[in-house]
Amino acid sequence: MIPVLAAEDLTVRFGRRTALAGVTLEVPRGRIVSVIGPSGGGKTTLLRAFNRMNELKPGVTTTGTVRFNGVDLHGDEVDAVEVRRRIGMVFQQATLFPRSILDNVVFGPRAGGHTGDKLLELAEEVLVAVGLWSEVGEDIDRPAMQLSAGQRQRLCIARTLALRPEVLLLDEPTSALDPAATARIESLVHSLKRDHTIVLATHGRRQAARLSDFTAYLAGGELIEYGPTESLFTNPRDRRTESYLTGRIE
Amino acid sequence: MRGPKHARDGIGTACGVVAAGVVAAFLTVAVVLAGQAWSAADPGFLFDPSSRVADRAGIGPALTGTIWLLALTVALALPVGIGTAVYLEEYAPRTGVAAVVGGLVANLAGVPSVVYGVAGLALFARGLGMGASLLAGGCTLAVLALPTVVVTSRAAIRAVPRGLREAAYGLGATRWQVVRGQVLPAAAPGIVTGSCAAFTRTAGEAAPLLVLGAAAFMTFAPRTPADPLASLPTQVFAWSTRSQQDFAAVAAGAGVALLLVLLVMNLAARTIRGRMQGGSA
Repeated sequence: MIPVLAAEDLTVRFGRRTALAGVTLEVPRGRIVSVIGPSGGGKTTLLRAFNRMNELKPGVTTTGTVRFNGVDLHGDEVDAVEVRRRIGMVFQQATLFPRSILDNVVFGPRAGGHTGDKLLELAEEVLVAVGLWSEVGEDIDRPAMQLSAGQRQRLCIARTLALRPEVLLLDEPTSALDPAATARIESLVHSLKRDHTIVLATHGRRQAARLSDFTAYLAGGELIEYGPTESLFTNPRDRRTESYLTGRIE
Repeated sequence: MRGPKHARDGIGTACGVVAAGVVAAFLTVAVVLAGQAWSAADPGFLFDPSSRVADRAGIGPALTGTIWLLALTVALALPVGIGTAVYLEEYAPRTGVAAVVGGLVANLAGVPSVVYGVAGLALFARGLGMGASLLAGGCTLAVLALPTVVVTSRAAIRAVPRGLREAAYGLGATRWQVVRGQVLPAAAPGIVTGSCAAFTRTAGEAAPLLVLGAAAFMTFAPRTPADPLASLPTQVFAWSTRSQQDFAAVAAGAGVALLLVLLVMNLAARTIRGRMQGGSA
């Protein structure tokens, strides 16, 4: 079976700084892959390479290949905008548009040219999915900025789900949240696994252990180790992985 | 703890005195102008054309001309300036083109206005055959305002949080959708504020218009941009060079009228800005 996402010898440089150095890894369909490692280790860059967000920064060079369902993402006929609609991303900072909840949820479909009543049904569906529908009292014309931090991040996830993407890239979605809100997001991520392939960058080792099927350990832009979560956590092959897991490297 | 607190209070008092001084200076200017203009104040003053007799002289053509010039300057400089800023910040950031154009624009902001007048005379009045018309004046003032509009618009666009752009790109928005839907609305208040300062300055310019050949004496109010160039600043200048004492009053009156026009423009801009901020919240 073709992996959903496959990076091969992927190197990303910002100016002279190398953020990713020759990473090769495959993301199997319908699984959660977590990417762990110290800050500045390349987690975010790897996620952004999967939906061509890196190229929005000036001075970036990417070599190697990234394939999505076997198709080279940097191929001539591939449109970056289309890539981002099929491979959705949720950022570390929950940045909402300063408009209503509804406007935020249907932003992606609207940008894709969809209009009409179907958008309302879609909004309800994804808001129910992230557990916000009942919380906002079905009043989706409220300004989105009124929501709490945890609700904001779930709205960001709903907004991405509204694109009906095959893959979800979650970049440290709980790093700014309290334990209760984090628990909600985690159970949400777990439920989303049914219909999506998920790549989760996280600072929390326990979160990776709880949620993911496979774990990649990235440090200094290099992929140190990649394998089934259970064996990586219980029996790491690389000593650097072991040091990180036992807390000797932050 | 007492020492630093007292020092801070001292600085606060000093700042208060300076601020009061600024207000006093401004009020003095307003009172002196208004006092001088008082004898010229009658309803006809606003509408009558200029005259050889100070008693009958009005600012009709000059006032209409200034409003035309302001409208033309805004209509020309705002789209071009914002477009340039968007290109430099969103489409070509940190490229050679952006560095060259950006440096050029920043330097243009420092060129004296009379030099723009000379360039406008060669390019618009003669080269493009506009003559000493309002259109030539509007084009020249627009070029004069352009660097400031570009520089302040770039700063406003750069101040838009990157997260906002990324959120939109991440949801499959095209570059234009990001610019139109996120960047420009968020930057608009800053763009309006900065551009207003530029237009306030150019509306008060006499030098470049004098170089273009502004009329000191017009018997009718301009009705189209092709009509001869008249404006309040050049009218003030023309009157202030007359030897008769009476013209000092009409010159001051024209000065007060110019201040009022700019006040109205700034209030309008404030209203627009308030609407935009209210609408996006």
